[in-house]
Amino acid sequence: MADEKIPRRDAINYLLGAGIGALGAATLYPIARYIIPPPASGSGTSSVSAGKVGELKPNEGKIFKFGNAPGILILKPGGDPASALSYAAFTAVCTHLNCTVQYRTDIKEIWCACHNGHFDLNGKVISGPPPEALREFRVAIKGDEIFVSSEEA
Amino acid sequence: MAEKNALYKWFDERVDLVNLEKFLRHKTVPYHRHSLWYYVGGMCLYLFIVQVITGILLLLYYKPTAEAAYESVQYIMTEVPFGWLIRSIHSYAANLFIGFVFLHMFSVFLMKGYRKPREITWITGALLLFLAMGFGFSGYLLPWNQLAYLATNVGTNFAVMVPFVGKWVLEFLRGGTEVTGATLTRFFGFHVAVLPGIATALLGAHLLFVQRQGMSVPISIEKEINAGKAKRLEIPFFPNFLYRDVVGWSLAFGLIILLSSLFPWELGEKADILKPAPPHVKPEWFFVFMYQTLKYVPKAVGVFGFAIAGGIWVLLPFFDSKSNRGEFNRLYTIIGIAAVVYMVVFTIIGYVAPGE
Amino acid sequence: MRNLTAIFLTILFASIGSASARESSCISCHLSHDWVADTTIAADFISGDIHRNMGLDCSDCHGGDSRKGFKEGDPELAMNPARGYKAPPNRAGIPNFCARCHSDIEYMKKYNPKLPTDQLKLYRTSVHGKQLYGKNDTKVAVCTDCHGIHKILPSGDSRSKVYHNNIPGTCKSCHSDPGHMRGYKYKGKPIPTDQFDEYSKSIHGILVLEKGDNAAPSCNNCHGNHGATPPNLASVSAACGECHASNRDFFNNSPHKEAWKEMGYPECEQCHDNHYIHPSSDEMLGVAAGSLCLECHDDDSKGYMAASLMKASIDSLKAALEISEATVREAEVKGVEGGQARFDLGAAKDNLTRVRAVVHTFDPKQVTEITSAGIKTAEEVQLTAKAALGDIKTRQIGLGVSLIFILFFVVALLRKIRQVDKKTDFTVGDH
Repeated sequence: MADEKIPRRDAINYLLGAGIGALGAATLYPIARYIIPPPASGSGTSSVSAGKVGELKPNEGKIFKFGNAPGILILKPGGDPASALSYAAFTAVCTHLNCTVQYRTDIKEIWCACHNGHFDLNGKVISGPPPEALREFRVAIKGDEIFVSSEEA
Repeated sequence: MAEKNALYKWFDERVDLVNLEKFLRHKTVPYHRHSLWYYVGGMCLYLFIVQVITGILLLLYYKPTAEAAYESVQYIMTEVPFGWLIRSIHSYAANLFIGFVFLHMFSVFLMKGYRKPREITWITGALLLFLAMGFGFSGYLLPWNQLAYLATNVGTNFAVMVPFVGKWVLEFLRGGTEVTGATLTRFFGFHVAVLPGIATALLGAHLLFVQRQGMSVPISIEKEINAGKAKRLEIPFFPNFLYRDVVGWSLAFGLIILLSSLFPWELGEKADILKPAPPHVKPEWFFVFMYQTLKYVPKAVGVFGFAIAGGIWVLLPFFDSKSNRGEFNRLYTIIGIAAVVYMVVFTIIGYVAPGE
Repeated sequence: MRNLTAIFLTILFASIGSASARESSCISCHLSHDWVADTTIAADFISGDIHRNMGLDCSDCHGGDSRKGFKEGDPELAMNPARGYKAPPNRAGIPNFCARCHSDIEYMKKYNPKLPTDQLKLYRTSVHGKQLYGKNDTKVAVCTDCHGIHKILPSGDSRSKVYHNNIPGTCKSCHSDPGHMRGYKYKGKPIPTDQFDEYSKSIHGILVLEKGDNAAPSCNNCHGNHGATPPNLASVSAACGECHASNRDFFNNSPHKEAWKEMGYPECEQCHDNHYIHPSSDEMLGVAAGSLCLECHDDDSKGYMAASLMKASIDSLKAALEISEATVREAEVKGVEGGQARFDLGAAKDNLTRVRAVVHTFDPKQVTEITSAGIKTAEEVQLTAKAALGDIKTRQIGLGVSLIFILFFVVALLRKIRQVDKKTDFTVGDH
């Protein structure tokens, strides 16, 4: 009797051990994944990484995601890619009808394709229907990352 | 015990494990046909721990400001791996927790478990129930979505009914005269610091008393045993009872992750203070019976009624001398069942009543 | 006593005004009821007139000697014809009166090098000028009607009658007065007096008059100011094109340009009206009732087909956007979408805005190119949002695995319970 019981008890203990192990793993895995911060840089922040130093050549621009809206980062003509002062960043949402603006290397201006609105590199309207300037962002370089912040420039 | 190894010895020499083991071995739980209700309290404890763990995890990414709260929850839900799961577990487990706390309370009430000498256990338990509702109310606002914003507006408004200091209480709750970002920050503080602190202390006391006095056996069972109609049975807490507890916890966990995965807790629309309130704004389900009642009686009467009823409910053990003498008190059983029926009926009306 | 007050006031005002360096006899007397019945002229002049602020005094326009007369108690010393004093001009004389300085390039340079000096020249070309000089009609506007007389403010001053946002009200004071406008004709027809009412309902009027937006056009942006005339056909679109440049370019390269010229249609105005410029709508296009295309294009003509095609393509873009946005919204509310989809949807919305401009090419090919690109983006976004909503697949796998683990554990535990229960005696006091 006793001889039969012991293996059965062992089997149940193994089963239980395996169950605890599997359940523990299934619980800890999501938690571990959760704790490791995701690559996207936080939520609702007032600053985002807009790109890397060297990504833009002088007289080039790119669109980046700022919250749910596009922003535009420009390395001014003749600017030093390593200096934050050479960059200009604005909300890329045209003040006329919310189209996304782009940088025109040929005329060195920010341009909205929808209604031919032109902005200078201070965000001011040069011509076309936009009623207001583009809101400017502050640019800072940390390491080789270019950060753009919505705080007052 | 054969498996006593070096590590066991090391601890035993310091914290007297042998004694603890002895204690666990000797701790028992009454075993009879109403024993099932004994697991409800353990379930509440388990869900509370789930809330603590998932709550701490949410704190890693949550931002308690009107500007960032919604976005941070959105971030948790969409960007953080398994964030949707953690948040959904926190939300579902919260509701399950409150459900079980109610169940716990009514089962104890109907079995007259509050009778002498367990009055303090009952009072701490009743206070923990109010705290649980406070947790629910404060936590509901934290994602800063439109529904929560409106519900908080309505809910905090009842504070003005408090005599003499109503306005002050309202402003204390809201952090100002209106529900704003200041309210959110405040509720966050209540939810993650004030309430957990109080709850931990009360819970400690509650468990200590349960531990010191053991589980109450219903009067009917006691009578049967005394009359020799039944044998007094007890089940060892460890491992027999605890194993059964764990079965329940595992099944609850399974249910929670099932709901969380198939129906992740909604995020809603971001709160917009300027948006007009849509009709049919309802508080969370565990407030609905009160909310619905207040539609039929003058607000002040209703609010005071609930305050007084709540107070009486807490102090109940002191009025039920019959149960304290070990006699069956039919009136209290009827009151208990009536309370459950009232709450269930008014909750249902609250959800199905048209056009209000 | 009155004299004292006058002196005090003079000193006070003089010390406030930038012309405080010069004392002025004229102002001293003209502020005093001892000398004049109406003191508003002098009071106006010293309370912000641009000329006064620039350092000019009464005598710079009216002649005479502004340093003499008050102390002596003899106004004739100041208003002395021998010192160039002349009586104020009558209405007809006002433009030339102002032009003595304002048309003098060298003189004006000293004060404001940027200020034009062609106002009189322009005025002569205007309907106002032609009436005044050609027909001796002094009911028309002269300088002072718009600029004021003795309290002339620069046009950039928001209190000025010629400040951008105040111009409609200024023109209205005559042009909306049927009594004043009676008898005037344009192209043989009486000039209407509803321009202001029409304008104030227009998108431009709402912006200028209600929203205080001084980038939206006022009367003078299309009609000119000193040379105010009804603009001719071509110059209407030139005026519109100042701001709506891309629409102008699209139109100029479109088949409508020549056709409308032949038929003598005004350009923008033909569809958009003039003073009452309606907020545009997509319903202006197409072949449904109310479409403007049908005014010229007969059923089944080439233009009819083009209009129908363009409208249909815009409608399908709008429909695609709507469906896509609804899905994105649902995904956001459910908390499975965090903004990338909305961000991407922005590009498709751009296409809608763009096509509403490109439609002025009246070229279905260019229009459909943009709409199809937009529809493609919108559909892609919708698919992503849908996928996020149904992203339950990976979740379901994880859930399934976890549930199996739990079940396994529970079964093992139940067996364990049976096992330990077997060894346990539940009767009290027996263990």
